[in-house]
Amino acid sequence: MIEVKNLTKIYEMGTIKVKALNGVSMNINKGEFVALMGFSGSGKSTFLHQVGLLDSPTGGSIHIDDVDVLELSEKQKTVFRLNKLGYVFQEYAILGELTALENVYLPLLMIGKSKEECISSAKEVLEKVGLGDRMEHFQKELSGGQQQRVAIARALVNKPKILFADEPTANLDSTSSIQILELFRELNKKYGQTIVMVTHEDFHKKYVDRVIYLKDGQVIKDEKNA
Amino acid sequence: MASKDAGFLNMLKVSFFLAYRSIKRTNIGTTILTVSIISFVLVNLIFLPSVVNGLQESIEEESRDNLYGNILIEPKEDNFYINDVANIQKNINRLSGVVGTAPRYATGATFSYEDEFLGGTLYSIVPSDEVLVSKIHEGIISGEYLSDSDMGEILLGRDLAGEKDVEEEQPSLKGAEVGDSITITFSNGVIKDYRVKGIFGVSKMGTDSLAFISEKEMESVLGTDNKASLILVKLSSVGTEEEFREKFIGLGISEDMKTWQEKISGVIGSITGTFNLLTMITTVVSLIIAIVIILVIVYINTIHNQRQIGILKAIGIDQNVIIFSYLFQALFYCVAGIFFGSLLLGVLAYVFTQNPIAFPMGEVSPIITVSLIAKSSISLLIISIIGGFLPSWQTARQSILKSIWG
Repeated sequence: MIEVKNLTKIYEMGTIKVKALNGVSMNINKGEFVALMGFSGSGKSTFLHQVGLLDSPTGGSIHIDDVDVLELSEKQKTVFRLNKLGYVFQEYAILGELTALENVYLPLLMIGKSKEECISSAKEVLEKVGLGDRMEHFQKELSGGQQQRVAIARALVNKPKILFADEPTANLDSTSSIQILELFRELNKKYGQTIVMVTHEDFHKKYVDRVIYLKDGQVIKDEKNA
Repeated sequence: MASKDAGFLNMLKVSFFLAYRSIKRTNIGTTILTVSIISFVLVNLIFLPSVVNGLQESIEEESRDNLYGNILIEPKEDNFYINDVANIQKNINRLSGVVGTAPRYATGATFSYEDEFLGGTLYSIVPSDEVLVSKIHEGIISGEYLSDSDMGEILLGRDLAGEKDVEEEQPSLKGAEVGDSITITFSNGVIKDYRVKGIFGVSKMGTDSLAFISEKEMESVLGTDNKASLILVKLSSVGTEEEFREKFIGLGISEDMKTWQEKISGVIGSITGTFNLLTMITTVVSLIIAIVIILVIVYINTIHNQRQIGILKAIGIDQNVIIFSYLFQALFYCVAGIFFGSLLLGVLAYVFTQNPIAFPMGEVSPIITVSLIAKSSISLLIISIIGGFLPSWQTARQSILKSIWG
């Protein structure tokens, strides 16, 4: 599903060059729930940004579903993100001017579906993430956990091939964090959703199939949960 | 091709959706302020040119109605007078489309009233002809209009009659009233007293400084039989002057003939030239203000929503959708500003029609034309497209990570 070879990312800060990724290679299979772990500065978020097509690497290759995604134009990448990828960010990245329902059906609207289809699918996903009674609420009327659920619903509404989550529970209390992780687990087990999640919390390991550890921009350990 | 069109339409649909939600949920105070500013810019763009229009229209009306008619017949070069006036009038009046002709005879004269002495021009008119051509009879403010048979009576313009104990810019008789006696010294040395029969006021653009006696009276003093210094021709419709001038030439009239447009081109040219310069400066300044306002509003908005723009791009929303959504917002503020600005202009036009603006040459009401509103509105729309596009394009083309995390 995801095939990464010798991925590098170098940031230039004046005359200093920082190697955020230093030849990362890995394969992630369809239906896997993978956690990327490591200390701050290990390169886990940078890796997610490159694989999620939010940024362009300095070198290496990324194939998703046999598509060489680094060969795509910016416009094609946008369409690829819309149709095949879903994102959940650390901050509650939902749009404040839209209700929960509107936030979720926006990607469907972009695909060109009718408003009725958009609303119906968005409602279905919101129900799935447990926000059936919060659909018409705005960001400011939702708790942190609820906002993150809206973001998850938005990421799932297009039935993406891969769901990327960048420290999705970092700003949540422990109860909300567990709810989100259980939701991910359920999505993975029940619907076979492939999930790649960046985290630094040790207790998250029990929810995932596989943990990949990064340090100084390199994979140092790749272990599967029993 | 069809799929490309559908894609473009869908892009507009999503842009409109985002713009509509943003406008709907934005602070109402900000919306009112923005729309008000654009309304005032529109008023600023239109009001001065509308006053210039009003001024031009007043001068044109005054010229046609009181000073020159539609066509003014004057003596040929080297001649002092037009001869055989009755025959010329008869020939012209026969033409369909001619409302009337009015001969005037001008002579230099000195007017004296109490201690005031004033040099000027005295005109004779045929009052019954003049009624068809000018509006002087409609402007009687005291006394009566002249009749063809009046002898020893004079009609004075308001500015020439003047007012007692009032400092005036133009020389006047300082308060001559109906029934008073005015002494006139003619160019041939004849001195005669005239009773003021009426005082008229039609405009401050020259006519109110004139004095009229009947043609019969002028003949008795100067022996001006069938002669005139000028003949005013009134036509039923404006714009046909050239056509009628050709017809008059065809009738064998060889006098000098000028249309009212030719007579006033110099005056209008210099007045409108000055005002057009002022208008141009005001327009440029207003448009700069408008573009700066829209740029600042959209720029602040995009900076404020930079993270949201990054998120939109990250979840697969096309960059053009984002740009168009800001364009739609800018256009909304602009169209609302044009709408409320037009209403405000309507109110201003009403107020200044009821209370015209006093100019040295008379009172002027602004004339707001559809073309003036259209031109200004189109300028504002273009400005809002530029003002909406630049900042949103700049922000939307930033990398996703920079937009989201700065």
